[in-house]
Amino acid sequence: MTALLLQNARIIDPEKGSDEIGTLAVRDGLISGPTGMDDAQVIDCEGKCLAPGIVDIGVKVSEPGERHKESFGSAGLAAAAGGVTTIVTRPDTLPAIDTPETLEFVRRRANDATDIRVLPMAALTRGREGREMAEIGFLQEGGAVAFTDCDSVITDNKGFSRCLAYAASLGALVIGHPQDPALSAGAAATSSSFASLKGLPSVSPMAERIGLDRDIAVAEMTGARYHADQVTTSRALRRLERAKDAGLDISAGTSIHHLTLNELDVGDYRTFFKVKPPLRSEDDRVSLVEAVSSGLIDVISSMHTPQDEESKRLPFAEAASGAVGLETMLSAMMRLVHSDQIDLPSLWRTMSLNPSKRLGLDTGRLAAGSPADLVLFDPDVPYVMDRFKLNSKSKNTPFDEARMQGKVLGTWVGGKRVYKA
Amino acid sequence: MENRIRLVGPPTLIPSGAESWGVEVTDDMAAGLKDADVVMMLRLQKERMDGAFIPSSREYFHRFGLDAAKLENAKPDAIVMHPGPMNRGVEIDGTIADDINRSVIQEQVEMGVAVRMAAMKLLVDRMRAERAETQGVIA
Repeated sequence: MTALLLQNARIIDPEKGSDEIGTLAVRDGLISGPTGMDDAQVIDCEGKCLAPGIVDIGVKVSEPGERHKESFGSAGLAAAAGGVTTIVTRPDTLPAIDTPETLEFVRRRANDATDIRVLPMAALTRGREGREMAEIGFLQEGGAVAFTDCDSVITDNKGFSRCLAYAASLGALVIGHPQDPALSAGAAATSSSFASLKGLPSVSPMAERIGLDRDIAVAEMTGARYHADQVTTSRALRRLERAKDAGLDISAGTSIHHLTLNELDVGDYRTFFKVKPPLRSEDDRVSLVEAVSSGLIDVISSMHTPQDEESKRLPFAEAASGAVGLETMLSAMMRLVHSDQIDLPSLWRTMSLNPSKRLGLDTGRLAAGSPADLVLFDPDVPYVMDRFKLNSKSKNTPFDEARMQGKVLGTWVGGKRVYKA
Repeated sequence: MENRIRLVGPPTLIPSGAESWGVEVTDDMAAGLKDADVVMMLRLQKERMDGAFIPSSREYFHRFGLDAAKLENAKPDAIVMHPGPMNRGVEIDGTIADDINRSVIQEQVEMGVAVRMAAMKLLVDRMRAERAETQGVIA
């Protein structure tokens, strides 16, 4: 494989916490030392930012079952255009990824369809029904990087604790959705005077804390490695902090939408702003941004959830939840950078380094010998989002027609260029 | 006798607090079998399980079922035991169960009958003696 020399780049290194102009060398798909690169292809980065590719945990690719919403091919294109080099897929497909056989199907399909790294997660229980444990051992050997029933919360604490105890014996990471499902059933918004005035069925933000409290207790009881997919309220953040201080093996993520939008953005029932959990108050959003900056929140995900027009063109309470995010993630997060709420190395710590570390991957960093998964981007270039230009088959982004900043110029996976603006 | 005992199984089946019984507890079959002299398997008693302790019998066999590869970890002359009845292909591979050089399961079952008979004899004798004492008659 050819060698590559990326010169005059503003290198964002989340591991060193550095942001400085330099040269990055790539040989045989790996980041290498700068010497002996006479045969290398030279690329002048013109002072633009070069960072590890984004590792996005919790991407929904709608294969198998709903390929009209998103395929591995279209998700791969969207990821490449968004600077995402590893997508960690959700098992909430039709059928759910809960057997070694369906897992094998997903891995083969993904490999054929895209150069982006696709790492599947598997269901924790069969059919994500919260009753019988899935074959965690076989699924782990088959390449499942984590286990989750996604937004289907296991309510039976006995069954849940057995799943976690069993997963712990395999060192498997369990990803939970901290939420009290009885409280949040049917909710389309967070309880507030806004939701009441709009007449929207709502859930108290306390439902997230109740869910997280339960999950933390069971993780402590079983010694399982636990990650909360999305923590979105300040109440739950305080519980997360306490659990981490107690030394439990617990981490948490949050979504780009909860970091950049609040409940008021729903406006006149715009269903593209309906996500799960629902958008929170501005106070919650501000404390989330602080938690990302301080390192309390470990991981930022796009929570990419493709929904077709038919699922969204419905009354707000009936519309499907979720938003696409693979392609909008980088520029959405630039909002936080440009408003001085986080610096680039800290942001990349949560978008590439931490997710990689949590899953035990060697990606997400720039140290010599690491896979050359890279994104070159201009953090400043302004544009107006046109959802119909997205590569995803589904166009449900809340950022449609929004003024954004930051564009991906190039993406490499294992030293191979997979996107060029 | 200076016996050391290891308890191997998924944490969902190991009794809580077992570590404090003077036994070593592990969920790693290879580590648990390492240099063992005697390997005693136990039947997966599905009838006594409320709900799922394990994902499936095939995964249980894969992780905890005794087969030739796992038995390699024990001493070369280690014997294999099982109180019966066996679930072949669940906790023990049929070829191991029937291996006359390793398995003493047939003898164990045979002796189990003698041991039960002896135990019943002791109980009956004691019962008769107690009755004779309280009633003053020879039964």
